[in-house]
Parts: sequence; C-alpha cells; structure tokens
Amino acid sequence: MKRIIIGHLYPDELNLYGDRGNIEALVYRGAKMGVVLDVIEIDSRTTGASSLFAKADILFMGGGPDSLQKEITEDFLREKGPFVKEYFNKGGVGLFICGAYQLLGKYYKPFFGDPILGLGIADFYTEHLGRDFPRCVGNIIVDISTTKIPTGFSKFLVGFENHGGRTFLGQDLTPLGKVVMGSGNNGKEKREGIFLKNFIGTYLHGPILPKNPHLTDFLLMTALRKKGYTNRLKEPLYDRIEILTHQAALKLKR
Amino acid sequence: MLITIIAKVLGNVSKLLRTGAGATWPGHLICKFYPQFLNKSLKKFNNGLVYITGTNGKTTTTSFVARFLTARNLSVVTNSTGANLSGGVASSIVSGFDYLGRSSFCYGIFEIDEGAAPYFLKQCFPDVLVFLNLSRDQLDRYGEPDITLERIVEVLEQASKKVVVIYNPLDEFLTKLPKITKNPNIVYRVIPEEETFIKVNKTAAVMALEGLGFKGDLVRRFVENLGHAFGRGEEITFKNCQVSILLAKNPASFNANLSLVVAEKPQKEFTPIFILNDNIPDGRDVSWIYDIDSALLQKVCKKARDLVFITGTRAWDFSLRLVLAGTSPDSLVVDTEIDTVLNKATSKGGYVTVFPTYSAMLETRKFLLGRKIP
Repeated sequence: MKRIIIGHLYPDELNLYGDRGNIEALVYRGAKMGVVLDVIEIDSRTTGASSLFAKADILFMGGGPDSLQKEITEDFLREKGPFVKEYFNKGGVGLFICGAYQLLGKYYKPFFGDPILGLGIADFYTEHLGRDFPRCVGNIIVDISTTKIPTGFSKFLVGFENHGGRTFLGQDLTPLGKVVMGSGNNGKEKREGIFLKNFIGTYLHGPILPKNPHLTDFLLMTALRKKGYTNRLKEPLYDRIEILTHQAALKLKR
Repeated sequence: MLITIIAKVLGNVSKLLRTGAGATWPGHLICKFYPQFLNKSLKKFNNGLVYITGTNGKTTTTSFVARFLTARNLSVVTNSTGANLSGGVASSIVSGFDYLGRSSFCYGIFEIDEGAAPYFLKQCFPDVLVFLNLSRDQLDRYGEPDITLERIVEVLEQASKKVVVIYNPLDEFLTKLPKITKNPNIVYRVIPEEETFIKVNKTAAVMALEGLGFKGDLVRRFVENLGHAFGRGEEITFKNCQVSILLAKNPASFNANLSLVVAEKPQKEFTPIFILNDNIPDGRDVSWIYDIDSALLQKVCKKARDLVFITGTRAWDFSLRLVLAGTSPDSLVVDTEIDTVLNKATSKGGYVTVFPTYSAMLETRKFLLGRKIP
C-alpha cells in the first residue's frame, strides 16, 4: 500500500477560503491512485516539528485573515520556518496559498509600518498599497502550458483570487503560469504565483485543487516519485464532474 | 418630496405588475436623485431607530423586533425582505410615505448589511445597534472580517449621542469590540450564551426592544411564540410536495440547516435541492462551500429517496463539493437552470428541502409562489 503524508500547517488559523477542500481533493485523487493519505496537522502548539517535517511528503499551508496571520507569523518564522526551508531545499513538495505564499518571500511590506520579514526561500516580495487601493478580487484563469505541470486534461488553472498585496518576483524566478483573466501576482505583469523547485505558491483559491485535478495529480505524482514509488505509477482518469466543473469555471466572468 | 411620491407610485405599479414587490429600484432611484434621502428620513424615527447587522440572523431578528411593534399597533418601517443595502432600506422608507408625501414614522427597524453598516451609521446613529456575529461571508466584497469591524468601529467612535450596542461576546471577532472603542456614548450590552441560533436571535430581539424602553418580560413572552422569517425555514405547498426553504448562505447557516434535516425523523420521500448562486448578494467567491461539514452533507444526501438535485449559477462547483464529501456522482442531477431543476425535483411529490443562497432563495420563492415576495 502506497502511503503519503501531508503536513498541514496551521489548519485552524489559516483556513480563510475553504482551504481544507485542498486536503479533501488530495485524499480523493490519492484514493484513485491507490494511495492512502495521512494528514499531520502542524501549528503553534506542535513540538518536535523536526521529525514531522522529515516524515512529510507534501506540505500545505492556506491563507488566513490578517489578525490570525500575524499570530502565527512569529511561530512560523522562528519555529517551523527553518524546517520548511530545509524541506524545500531537499526538493520536498509544497503548496502555499495567498498569505502563506507571501510568507515564503523575502518580506511583506504593509501600507503602514515596517516590513514583515518572510522566510526568504527565494528572491520575491509583496507590497500592500493601502486599504483604499482596490484589492485584486475575482475569478482568475492561469495558463500553465509553459510550466512543467502536465496539461493532458487542461492547460489552464481556474480559481478565485482575493488579495490586497502585490507580489513581485525576482528576474530569475518562474511563475506558476500566465494570467489569462484576472490580476495574478501584481496585476501588471500578467504572471501568477511562483514555481520553485517543487514548491508552488499561488493566490488561487476556490479552493484550487478540487477544480484542477491535473494540479492535484502533479503534486501527488511528484511526491510519490520522490518517495521511490515508481512502479506502475499512472495518473487516474478524471471524473466527469471534475472536468465539467473545471470547464464551467473557464466560462465564468471575472 | 415629489420624488418620494413618484418613487412610491412606481413602486406600487411594479407591485401590481408582479415584478416583485421586494424590488429595490424605487429606493435606488430616490437615492440617486436625492442623495440626502436616507440621512434626512432616518432622523425622523423619533420613537426609535434600530439597526441589526452581522453575518447571520439579521432578517430573523429584525422580523422579531418589527412584529412585536406591529402587534402593538405602532407604526413601523422595516425592510422585511432582507434587502439590506441603501436601495432596499430607502425602498422600505418610501413605502411608508402616503401619496401626499406625508409619513407617520414612529419606529425604524432595519437589518443592515455588515459591509454597509459604516455608511448607515454615518447617515444617522441608531438608538440601538444589534451586532449579531461576524463571520467569513462574502470575503470578495468586504475583504476580511477584521476590516469590516474596523470600519464600523471607526464610525462608532464619532457617535455624539447614546447608542446601545448589543453584541455577542462569544463571537471570535466581536469579543474585542468594547476594547477597541473609547467613545463613552457607546453603551454595550452582552447577548448571553444560547443553545441555538434562533434563541440567540430571539434574545437579541428582546434586548433591542428593551433598549427602546419596552419591558423585558412582556417582550420575551411575545417573541418566544414567533415562527420563522421570510425564506428562513418557511414551508410552501407546491404540486403535491411539501417544500421547505432553508437559507444556506455561508458555512455556519449551512451546517445549522443540515443538522436540522439530519435530526428530523426519516422521511421516506425526501428530496434535497442545493442551489448555489454567485451573484453579488450571494458573494462571487464560492470557496466557502468547502467549509461546510462534509459528514453532514453526506448524511443529508443519504437521506434522499433516490436523487440529489443541484442547481444555480455554480451548480457544478457544488456537485464537485458533494462528490468530495463522499456522495456518489451517479446520484446527482446537475443543471444550472433553477426552474428546470425545481420542476424535476418536485415531480414525484413528497418532502422537498431547498438549500439556497440568498438570490437563489428569491428565485425559488418566485418559482413556487409565482412571484418573488408575497
């Protein structure tokens, strides 16, 4: 029996946009591959994090409201961050949504006050342009045909974005994809998210995975291969409802 | 006040034509041509002005307060249909004028959308503000609950007259309310812990009426015997079906309504209909459906006689949600046309329960009753 362990970071604090749905999608697609998924929840109360990170095959961290985001930032950067960084450097698989994506960067600069340092796994940062500056809100479509995510089913990712911060990637960094509709990272460059080693940072929720089963499978397959399960590894068929939901989302207005 | 009379006439014509008496356009019209309308008219409720805001329970609580006053033959203006933005409130005020542009305002009891609360507070401070709760609803419209609260507090700080604020201290966001306001004109009253949503709403209504000077015992006896509000658990007979509508517009109200159905004794001929819309009043972001309790969703689907019906602009999203919660795709009937699905689902008779978002609730009532609002 193939087994995958998901490390879910701050599940109670960072669950603003139905992010638990991503875990349900991983479990659902995993079951079709004959893989059993175990979820370990990691938060501020968790001790002995080092052994947990060593066990995890996929790390997942969602977005949260500002107040809770602030609450966990210190614990994340000081206690869990170094392990996340080590895990990232070893090529671990990770999905980081919205605020969690921002925390991976160098810093987050709020409109008022000093910048909040991030984990700095790569050269990117986020800036908030003020409360009265329009948030990036609405349905979003991202073209991923130039990234290494298999696009047999669809070359797009669909979701909903809602963020005040604008993210800017350093020159050498690769985004998750090209924005077809919506704002993405900063509304100017038509780029969305980040793809770094096996880490994905993105503003897409909806939540992202249920409606984009090709992305779910990519995360699972990468984790399985990394764990050494290479024998007879095949992506399962997609459900009719998965496909129709994805296609319906491609027709939504901004 | 000529514009008021015109708006009133037009509003009544629209009622006659059955375009839906809950139409908010007479109010939009008057606010457009006479921007001071709300500011001027809200100040006329000399006997008492109450705003009821929060994410869940506004319509129900508002109806409890208004029904008490109406039963005592007091003149009340209220937005009983849940149209809680400026157009809706202005429309309900317009309907309180007579054709000579006169009004006999006594009490104004309005449910106010939490995002619009700062605007209304700026127009006129109420005698009582009921703040029921604040949860993650319609994030796409308001951003996060913190920001919504922050904006309301900013205006409350400027109150120059006494405002009784009745709030739920158990709410994760509202709990900090007294700490973040410094204005001595704000008087806080705490809603005690209750077992169910409906009890919280009733208690809040009693406290609001107490805030207006009515005796608690008297009010409590009256309110305890009241039933549902518009579109909140009402039952409609359609063809040979008993249809109940349980407004399910966010995870909290969804879970509460699913639990109600799960707790009911098994009905052999039970058919659930889930209607998910993403229109502006529903919130354009439907991510929240993944915060609904999966186990409850599955229990309700398992109670179905055979099929589970799903419709609304985002029907596909909801069907995928049910599949991930463990429901078999074969048992799902999915169609984005609400009328088609309501027709199909009611064709076999029996007990039909509709779980609609707000705009879907209006469409459902229109279909079942032949118009939007009685």
